[in-house]
Amino acid sequence: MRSSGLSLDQAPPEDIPFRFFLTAPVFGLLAGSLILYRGVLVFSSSWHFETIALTHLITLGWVMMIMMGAFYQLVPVLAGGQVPWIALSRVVHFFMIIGILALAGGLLLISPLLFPVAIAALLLAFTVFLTQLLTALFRVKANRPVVVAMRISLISLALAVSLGVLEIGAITGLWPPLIERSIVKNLHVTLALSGGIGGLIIGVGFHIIPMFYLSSPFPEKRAIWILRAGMFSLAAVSVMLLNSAGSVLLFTAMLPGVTASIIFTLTVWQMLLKRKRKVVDATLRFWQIGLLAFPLSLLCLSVHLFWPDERLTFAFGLLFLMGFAATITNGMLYKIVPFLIWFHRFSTLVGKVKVPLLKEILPAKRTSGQLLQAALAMLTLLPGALLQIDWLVRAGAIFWLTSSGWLVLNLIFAFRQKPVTND
Amino acid sequence: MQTINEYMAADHARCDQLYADAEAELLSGSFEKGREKMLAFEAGMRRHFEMEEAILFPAFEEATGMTQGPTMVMRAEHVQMNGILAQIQESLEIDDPDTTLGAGETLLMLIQQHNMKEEGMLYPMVDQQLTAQVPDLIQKMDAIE
Ligand code: HEM
Repeated sequence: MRSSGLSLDQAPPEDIPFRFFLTAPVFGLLAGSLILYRGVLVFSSSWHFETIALTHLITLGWVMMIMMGAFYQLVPVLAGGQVPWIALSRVVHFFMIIGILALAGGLLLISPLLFPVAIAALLLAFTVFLTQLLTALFRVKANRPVVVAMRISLISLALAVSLGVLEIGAITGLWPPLIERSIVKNLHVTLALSGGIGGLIIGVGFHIIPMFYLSSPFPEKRAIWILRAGMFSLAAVSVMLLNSAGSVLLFTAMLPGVTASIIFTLTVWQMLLKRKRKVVDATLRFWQIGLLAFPLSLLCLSVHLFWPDERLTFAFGLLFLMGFAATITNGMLYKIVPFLIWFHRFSTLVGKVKVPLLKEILPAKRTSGQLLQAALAMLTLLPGALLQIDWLVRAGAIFWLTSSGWLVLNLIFAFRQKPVTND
Repeated sequence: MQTINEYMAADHARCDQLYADAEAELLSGSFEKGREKMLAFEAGMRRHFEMEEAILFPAFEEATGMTQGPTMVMRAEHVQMNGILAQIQESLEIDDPDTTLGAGETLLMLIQQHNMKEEGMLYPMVDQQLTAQVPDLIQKMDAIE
């Protein structure tokens, strides 16, 4: 109580991260079903309601779900701060589900009644979440790169959510638009993806890579430089967007951030190659796929500035959201979940009864099978969307559905591991 | 002047390397060499625990009066790690490299999150609260066999 940051045992109750983690692939199933049902149509215009629904099934349903669970779990370990009012996290989870379903449902069924529900639920969920995490992170004195990155991520999310709410209200006629739709949209996407998602993955990557794969540490000076360049670009791009700047100016504003992202990617790649542990597991492959998709997505985005073909936007979206964000979060679940189960349920029993090992809580065969499905989904959806080939997109949807379903089963398998009580 | 955090983090890295070497040998199928290296890793771990439990933690507890605080949590995790180390030893005795590797991986995750907490919180606190004693503490820990 007296001095936060002193207690080292601040992990949240296990059900809190788990409920977020398990929900993510369920939304993955919904997203996959939507792609399977509509085929290449969902990749015909980013202004379509269906496409916006799909995007948020993935961004809010998958990526944010895992990010929220990870924030609750990792802030005490990585930043050393206690997350306040931890029981409220269950409320956050509940209203996220309601909000995402109402948002996607409203957009898909064009049902105006659902939008106020979506707005209220999402605002409630994000307000509680952001208040909890920002309180925790601003209480910590340390300015380690990961803490800075997490703050950037949370503040970007706060702005992105506000803009998203403004926009959905404007689109559905709940209130008049404040500024031009495309400006709000571009700002919303920039803040949500580069600040919100990019910020967290990069910040956590600084620590997680050395920790899980026994690599050399991420050079601290370089980490700080990367974050500064990223922040600069985030601010500069936002200003340019608000002033409807042209492609050259926008690209110039993006450049430091893109360069920093590439340096991050190369550094982590190098660290992985030179890691001390030589074992190869599925999580390592998930990281590698993510690290390939990340710079490729930025390439598509940059080319799109000068050659505004919508298909490039879809390539960007697929590479960034499914290839990078969903893949890396997927891989992280396979490191975090077995360990949490072990830690919460078995660690105190060591030496007293026989406890399972991590590989028994979640066998490698299960994870590598799902990895293959996830990779095949990417490899089919991407050309399908770029070349606008319907059957390829639907085949990709099937791989994606298999992958999501498999992840659900794997997580359930792990959650079922309980100590045998026959003492 | 070397800080406690630097000194102890270097020892963490040394133990990590010992583990990685042992794991690599076992993975490549050379069980005898793997066993030898795994035992070296085990010795490294036990020495590290002793440095903390015999010297560093008592000094911290005495200086701050906190016996039920961070050091208590760290000691409890040492007990858990010792439990898995025993499992590793057992598997080495009965020539069961699969279990050695599985237990090793489990132990490694436990070690990593443990080290993260020590390097992020506990050691910096020691450096701050016991600044004057740092060289002496390091000398005493160095002397441990
Ligand atoms: C929580 C409340 C949110 C609401 C109400 C919301 C709402 C919206 C709306 C209405 C659009 C369409 C803009 C337009 O076409 O004019 C949009 C686009 C988008 N949003 Fe959100 N958003 C929210 C959160 C997020 C988050 C957290 C992310 C990512 C982490 C995100 C990622 C995106 C992306 C990538 C697009 C562009 C996709 C497209 O136009 O199809 N959104 N959002």
